[in-house]
Amino acid sequence: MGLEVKEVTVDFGGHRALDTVTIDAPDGVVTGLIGPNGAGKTTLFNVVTGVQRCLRGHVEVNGVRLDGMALHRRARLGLGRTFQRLELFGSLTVRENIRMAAAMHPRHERESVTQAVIERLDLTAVADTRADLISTGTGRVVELGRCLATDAKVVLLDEPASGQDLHESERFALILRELAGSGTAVLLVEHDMDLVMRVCDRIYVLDFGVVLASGTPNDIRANAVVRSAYLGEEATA
Amino acid sequence: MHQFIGFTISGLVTAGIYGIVACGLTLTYTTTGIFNWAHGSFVAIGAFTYWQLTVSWGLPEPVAAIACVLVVGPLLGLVLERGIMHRLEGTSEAIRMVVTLALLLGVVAGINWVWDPATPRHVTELFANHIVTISGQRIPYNDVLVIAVALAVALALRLLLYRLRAGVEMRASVDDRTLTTLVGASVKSTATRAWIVSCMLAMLAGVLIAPRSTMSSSALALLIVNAYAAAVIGRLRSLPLTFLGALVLGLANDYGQGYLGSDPTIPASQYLIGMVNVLPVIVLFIVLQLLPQSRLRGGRSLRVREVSSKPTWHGSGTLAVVCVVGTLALAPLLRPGDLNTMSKVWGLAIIALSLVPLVGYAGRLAVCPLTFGAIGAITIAHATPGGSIVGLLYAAAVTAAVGALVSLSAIRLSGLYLALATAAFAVMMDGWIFKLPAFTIFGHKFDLFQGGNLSIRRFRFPGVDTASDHAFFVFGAVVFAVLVLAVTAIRRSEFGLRLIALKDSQVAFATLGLSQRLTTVAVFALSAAIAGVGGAVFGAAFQQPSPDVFTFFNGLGVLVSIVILGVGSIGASIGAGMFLAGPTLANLFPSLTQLSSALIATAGINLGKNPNGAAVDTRAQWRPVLQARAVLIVGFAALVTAYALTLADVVSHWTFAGVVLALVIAVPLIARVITEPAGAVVERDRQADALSADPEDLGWLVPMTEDDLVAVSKALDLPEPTLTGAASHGA
Repeated sequence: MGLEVKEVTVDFGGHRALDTVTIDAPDGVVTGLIGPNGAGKTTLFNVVTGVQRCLRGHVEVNGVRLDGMALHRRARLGLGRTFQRLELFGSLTVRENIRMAAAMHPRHERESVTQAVIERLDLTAVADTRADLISTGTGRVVELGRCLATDAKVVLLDEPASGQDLHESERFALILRELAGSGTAVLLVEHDMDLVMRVCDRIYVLDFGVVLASGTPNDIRANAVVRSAYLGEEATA
Repeated sequence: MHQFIGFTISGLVTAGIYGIVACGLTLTYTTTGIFNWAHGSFVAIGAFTYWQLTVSWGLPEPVAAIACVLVVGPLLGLVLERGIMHRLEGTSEAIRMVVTLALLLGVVAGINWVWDPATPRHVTELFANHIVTISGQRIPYNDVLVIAVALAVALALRLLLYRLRAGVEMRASVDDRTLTTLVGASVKSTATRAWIVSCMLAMLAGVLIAPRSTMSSSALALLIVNAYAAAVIGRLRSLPLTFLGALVLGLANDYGQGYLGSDPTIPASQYLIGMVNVLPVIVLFIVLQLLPQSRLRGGRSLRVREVSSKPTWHGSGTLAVVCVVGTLALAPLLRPGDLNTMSKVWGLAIIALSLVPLVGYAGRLAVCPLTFGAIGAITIAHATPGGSIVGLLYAAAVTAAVGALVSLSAIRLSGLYLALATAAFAVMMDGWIFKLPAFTIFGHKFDLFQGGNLSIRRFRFPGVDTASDHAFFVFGAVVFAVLVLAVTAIRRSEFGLRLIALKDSQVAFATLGLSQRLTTVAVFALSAAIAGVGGAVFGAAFQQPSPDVFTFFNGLGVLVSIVILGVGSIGASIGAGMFLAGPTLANLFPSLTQLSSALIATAGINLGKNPNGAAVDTRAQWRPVLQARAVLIVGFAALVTAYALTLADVVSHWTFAGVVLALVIAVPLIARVITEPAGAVVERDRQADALSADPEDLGWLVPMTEDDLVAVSKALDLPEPTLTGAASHGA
């Protein structure tokens, strides 16, 4: 089931940010969402998580329509996200950040869930460091850790590789594959094309609020319209 | 019909003044993002300056009015922007609000200092005795003038903001300050212009309102509440809607006062006349319900500027014990008068403590702590007239319920609106509910303030009666100590983590499945409950408190004090209580009744520089004392010796106070010298001196020299850099 975005339209004043966008991110699959800046990727994330209302269309998570549902209720349905601009709880330690996310578990399990996530993501060394003092790359792993601690069934990742070095990015790719392997639906917005092509099973290309193309990484690489619009190459190349 | 026309004209005049005040408020909020709570107090400056120029110095009215608006207004705006407001860039919304609240306190104290409030003042209106007759109704020239001026202001502002470049830049700077600078506009001069125009409007409103007012600084300053009701109708953005709001409020105010005041036969008019005075507040509550939901706020920056450290059990336990033991030791040294004054310290300290979870942890600003305190005091006065300690539980329960209701009224909205709702609540309770005559509901007679003053029996329980000031002083310390431990437990619990998380990022909070509304209501209820207990203890200290003890302005003093001292620190609440209720200032400077407000305001205005307050610095200064046990023991021995000598009347109380002060200064200094390795401070200073600029500017604002590179590498224990002759330059 996973995440289904059906014919979503969003207007900002006179500007149409998303125009009848339909996207499917099924369970156990890493779905990529790429497009130039301003294409509407983060707006789509905001619509899915409930930060932004849409003019038309709707969103379903595991078959449940999310119309008008508050953010925290969507999260309780199994929807997790990370942010393009880090949204850590800066005054809390890394462990406490993840502990907050484990609040959906029964009280006696929260500590063990937190510890398991810290170990799984190799965050032990920084677990007791205040979150506003860690690097951006590690911060992105902590945000992913919070998603894992909520037991999210659908995970939206907004440019998780930005601010990460090559080694961190490699590790991140492995974690994403593991996550999908365990049955989670992953929707990935990313500018690092190498990472997208490596980890995604299916990719959607968004441009000016419209889905320009979709398909496997190979389909997208070969798509002349995408290369022209997004990768900056001549259509004939 | 004559009456109706009269009330309508009067209402239009009121509306005009509200509109001018509200526009000034909206103008600075939209251009600088600062909601100026002190705006009403600037209106008061205008009114008093106008009185000074006309009545006291005898200048002709038109000259005085022009001097106020065109000279005092721009000067005030300039000083305000350069001296205070531009330093608030980058601070949180809560700190910006507290700074302007401090300014409000300071201006009111300053006005009372310069113009003694005990002296009655009256200003004659412009063109006195000149009237125009419309439909047989005699209307003073002054009223026509006010309405015409209000219309002219509305048109002039419209012209300024939409037709003139300066105004367009003002509007642009709200949308994106960086982009505004890129098109050649100076954000700084735009802000300065906005403050100047805003202050000119405040002066104008002051001049116009002076003949209609009782010339009370606090009443004039509270005009802000009416004005912000109008401004909120304009959603703090639209000037036409703001004027419309002012029109509705002005007319409603004057019709209400006119008809209810002139006709006592109207049913329940004795209850409703008070309501008319706070009508704008009631309108504000209604408008808040109609506003669309605010978008959730993310973290403003990666690095958190305002930090509330997690209290340890050891630290809080020590604090609790020191409070109780210190109170037991201090009580015998105090004179009866001072002991009576000091018995109020703990009530205020508890009310200040109530703000720690709400403002310090959750970052939600409520400006009505003493109003919750009043509800606590009313509850024990009515529920447990015999002084049962169970009354404290009743007080907590009732205020928690009221706190939850108040928070629900603005829960969908941003922090500013929540603060506005609490201010409106405080003003409504002060101006209407607390002054209601006795009423009967379902056969029960209610007389909230028991005909003027509450009668509160101090607490008693088996074997203990706290009726004496001595016993009550100690009892207050025990209640405070228990609540210190309770707040520590809350901060250390999962709920405490939630509060901090809510403050850091609302949007992340919600996307983890946590309900920010539920958490906000819970922390409001908790804070109100603590304030209710504090109010009960505070009220019992007075034994017969009047509503004036719990006013909105006194509550602001508590709020600003605790924020200055460090609203994230539990210990700061003692400082707030001691400062506000302690007898020191009154003993030292008996004639300067405004001194404490002025001091609070001065310190509060500087909050932009250090939003964590003084507690964090104090804790850092005292940390070495824990390592230098010898200093601690010697210091404690000196304190005990001085105490024993004072008790035995060998030395005076003032000598004891001097010894305590000397120890407070000397002990951390000596401990620091002992614990820091010899020369460490000098070495650190020398390393800092070796740099060509401040470390944070190097490589960014100032090019980094080779010497800097060597010095920085050495300071950070990095390998000696390989120098190529080219220095590293920043962006």
